[in-house]
Amino acid sequence: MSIDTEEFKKEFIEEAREYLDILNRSIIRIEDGELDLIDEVFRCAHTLKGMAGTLGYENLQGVSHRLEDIFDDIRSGELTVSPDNIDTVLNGLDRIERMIDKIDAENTDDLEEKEKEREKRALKKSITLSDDCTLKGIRAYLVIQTLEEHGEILKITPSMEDIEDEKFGLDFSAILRTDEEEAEIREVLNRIADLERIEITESEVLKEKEITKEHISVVRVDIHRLDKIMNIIGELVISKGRLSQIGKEYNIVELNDALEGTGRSVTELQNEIMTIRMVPISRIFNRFPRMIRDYCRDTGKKIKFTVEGGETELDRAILDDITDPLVHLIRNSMDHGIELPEDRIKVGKDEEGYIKLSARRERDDVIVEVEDDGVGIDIEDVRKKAVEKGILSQEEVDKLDDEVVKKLIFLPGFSTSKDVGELSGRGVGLDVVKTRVEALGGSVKIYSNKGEGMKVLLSLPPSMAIVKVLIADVSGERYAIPLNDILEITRVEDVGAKTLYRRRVLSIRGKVIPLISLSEVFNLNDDAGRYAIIVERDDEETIALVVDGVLDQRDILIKPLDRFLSDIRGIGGMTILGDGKVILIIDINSLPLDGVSNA
Amino acid sequence: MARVLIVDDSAFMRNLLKNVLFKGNLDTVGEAADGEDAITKYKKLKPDLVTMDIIMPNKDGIAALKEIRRIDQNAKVIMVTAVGQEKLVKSAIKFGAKGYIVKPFQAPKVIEEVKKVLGIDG
Repeated sequence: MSIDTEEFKKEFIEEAREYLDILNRSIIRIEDGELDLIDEVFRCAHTLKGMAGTLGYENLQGVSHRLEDIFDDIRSGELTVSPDNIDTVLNGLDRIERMIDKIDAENTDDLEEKEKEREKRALKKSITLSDDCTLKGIRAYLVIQTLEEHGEILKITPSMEDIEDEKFGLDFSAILRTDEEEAEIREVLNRIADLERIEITESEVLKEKEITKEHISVVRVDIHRLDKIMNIIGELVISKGRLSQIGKEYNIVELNDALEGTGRSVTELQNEIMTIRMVPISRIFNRFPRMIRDYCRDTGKKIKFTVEGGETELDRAILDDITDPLVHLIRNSMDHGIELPEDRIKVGKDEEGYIKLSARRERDDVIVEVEDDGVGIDIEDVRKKAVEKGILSQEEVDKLDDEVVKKLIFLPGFSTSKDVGELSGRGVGLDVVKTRVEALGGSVKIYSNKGEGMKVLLSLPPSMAIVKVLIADVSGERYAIPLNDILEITRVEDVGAKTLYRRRVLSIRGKVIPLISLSEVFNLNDDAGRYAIIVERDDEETIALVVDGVLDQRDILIKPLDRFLSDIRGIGGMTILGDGKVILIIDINSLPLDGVSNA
Repeated sequence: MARVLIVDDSAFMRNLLKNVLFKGNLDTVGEAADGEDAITKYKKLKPDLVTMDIIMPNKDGIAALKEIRRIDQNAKVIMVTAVGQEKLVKSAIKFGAKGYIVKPFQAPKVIEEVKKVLGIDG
């Protein structure tokens, strides 16, 4: 029985990538002296070779075989673990990666199959529509219907569904099993208008699909489908809210009871989908050892790279979004952070520097840290730069305390490195990291002392934006405050507000907390403000928000604000409540501490 | 010269199409105003190609297409359609339509379509 390659290809690719990943990581550790890993890499190469052979990918098989030989020689002591030999291995791995990419990209198989003669030929037709083609979905449909009269269609790319929905550019392809000659097929296609280019190639034989009683326990789903489901669930949450509002308003007990069950199901559904979307952060962590190793080879720097908490899970979309910022941070550390070995020795450090990348779950956040023991931030240098760049005047800079000065490096266009490095420091700076992370609802903190290295801490929401909020009344308007930020709620009169140095403050259990009136911040009529909602900001500052009433607690779906509204300080997004009203969500981290928002 | 039967319930559209075909050196041998009429004329005239409107009184274009393809399984029928009728065109293709032209007509595209289906070069 021949192997149904199409069926196995995806699994093959997935698995091959996993092996490649292990190989890449282990090789670098072997170079670092962990020689006992050689058995594992040998096994990986061996398995990869076997898999490739089974599916007939001879090139892939060949390269894997070569690697296997090298590993064997290392194991027996015939080859040493020299940087040059490691380079050879890494190049081989790169080649394998390209081959896998190629297999992945071609939706048809690249098989050098042996049973060709015994089966009908399969012809692959790649077709480009002319760019003035009207109703291109129909045109492609016509092509496919026509082909069907001349054989059996085995595969269409993109899918028929997408073609009919016109979700494709001008190109599509079909594999047809037929006993007719290529020329005959070409003639048939020539009778169809609007086809700019027709390319017919021999395709490998694809065995007839046996859609019989195969047990499929894993399905692969396009992430966009999950996004769509997430959106639908979001709408569902809103509709449910609307219904329960009606139930309350008209006091319909039965409706409320029924909704309770619905609510549970919706929550469950939400959680399930969130879980499905979670992937371990090691997916991106694993690429860094190689990046750092190559960099060290090029520059002569010595860096020990360690990773912790790779198993921490994050939503797939969030993971995608923080990939670039993380790459940037790591480059920053190796390029501007870690010094050359001789410079390190001069200042009394070990000649080998370290970069540590770690992830962990902390309450409802995922914390990702990049830490190095390089030069750190030179506060005086930042002060000088800020003045040079005209961001602040000398006077202003002198007044700022060190913590605030550190934050200046997040400003667009700010870079303190003296020369522009090859990798980072090209203007795409920390400001991009900060913007990206904040757009996800996260925050960035930086810890550094001159000469002692630097630690950048990203705090991220683990999953997408359905959050619990408190609905508060501010001068008759409703605002939502994320429950997560809230430490406690108290009545102002119980604790008593005072004025201290012209700022209103609360004193709770001996602690003085700045008091911020939301009605003042958003320019509303000033009301009495009976309640103080005490929240903790990401900069660990505790503040009290004064509101007029505390109304309700809800699950809401955060919808982002339009671009022109997005930089209002103190507002993080909006949501639609059960009664159809739109309300704004307070972002305590961007709330101005000293007065009025620019709203 | 290739002989074409134009089927459309609007005399204006028939004239327009006839004009376009004439420019493309294609001869209109007959016109029909509904599906029934189209079937009768097809039997009588044995044209090389039919342009078939879809929405028509008496018998619609798809029913007429089916009947014509039953009479002559090599019949070449091109559907005349407007944007928004994709579903109908798809079912017409299933029943053996060889192509389609889209209203409002663009003369070169209409000529190209007809010639392609007829297998005439240029």
